[in-house]
Amino acid sequence: MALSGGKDSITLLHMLARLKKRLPMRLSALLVDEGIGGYRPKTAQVAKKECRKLGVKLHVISFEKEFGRPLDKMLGAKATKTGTDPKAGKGGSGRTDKRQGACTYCGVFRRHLLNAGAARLGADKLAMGHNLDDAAQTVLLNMFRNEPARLARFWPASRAAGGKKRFVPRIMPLIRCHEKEIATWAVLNGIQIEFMSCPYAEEAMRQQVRRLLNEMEERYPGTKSRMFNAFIHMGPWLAQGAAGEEEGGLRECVKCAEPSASGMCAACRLLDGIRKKR
Amino acid sequence: MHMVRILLDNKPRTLRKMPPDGRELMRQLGVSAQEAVLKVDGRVRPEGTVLGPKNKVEIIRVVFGG
Repeated sequence: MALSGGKDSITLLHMLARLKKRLPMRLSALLVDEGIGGYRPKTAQVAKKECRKLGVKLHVISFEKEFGRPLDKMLGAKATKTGTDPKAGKGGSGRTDKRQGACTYCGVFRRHLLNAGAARLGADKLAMGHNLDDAAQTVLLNMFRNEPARLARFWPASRAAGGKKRFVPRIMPLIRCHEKEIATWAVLNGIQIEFMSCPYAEEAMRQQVRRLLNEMEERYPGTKSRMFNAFIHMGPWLAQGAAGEEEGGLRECVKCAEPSASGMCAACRLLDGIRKKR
Repeated sequence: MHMVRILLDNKPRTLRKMPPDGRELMRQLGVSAQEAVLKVDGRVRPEGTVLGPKNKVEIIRVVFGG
């Protein structure tokens, strides 16, 4: 499973560790250290502690070791700790042009390493801690950005990419649970969780979408579930359309052989860009 | 004037009077009910729980994003 040390993945770790006692399965945790100063070391500490407590082996894989530099250096700016304050954020985030796109780099490289890391471990499934809020936000974000192909790729990838070499199918056991429900479960069960935000998170449009969806959910309870259900119903058509556009959906990257929607994967394209800037 | 004290993220806050329920308390504090947990007398309760001046009330923000 992918473990970040945040509430969702820690809760998932506890649930899978419980299931492991009853089912014939092996469980390992994979943590990606992006190299975000003031943030990742704290959450990694929580992840290590919880894994030790539950007897789950933790594997750490880092941007620095795999790509030659941590995220902070990739962006040419060091992360500040302001984002860890839950009250900071609605106002000015003090972001710079250099820090814009942090989520793009991070998301692409993290997905790349999680798949590669899971494949190296011989995993046949990669469990992710995504919740209903994440899913509803992703659907809406891709609509706002007019990115139907990206939205199509969010539809159960294991089905769309079945049989592709090196692709470890992802499962999302918490996908129908509200983020608040997960957090509440964690509080009720006395799970130690660092409730902190990534210092780059506030610059993302996702935060605005999160607030918008929460307002809608308050006013019209069930909004997030209905949005996700609509997406699941639309999924087959979306995936079919995307596969047609991309001549067959996922394939292997010509450079690193990791799964890719085009000839060269997004991680290799971004790395090429970083190397050219040096 | 008699004031009531509650805890927001483990820090004390003073209010003129206790709001009628947890949802209204969150609204007054500018906290989304989607992002916080209400504790009354040490127990996690639904946001709609009726509050009284003698209750020990705590709001914990649990959704920070990122």
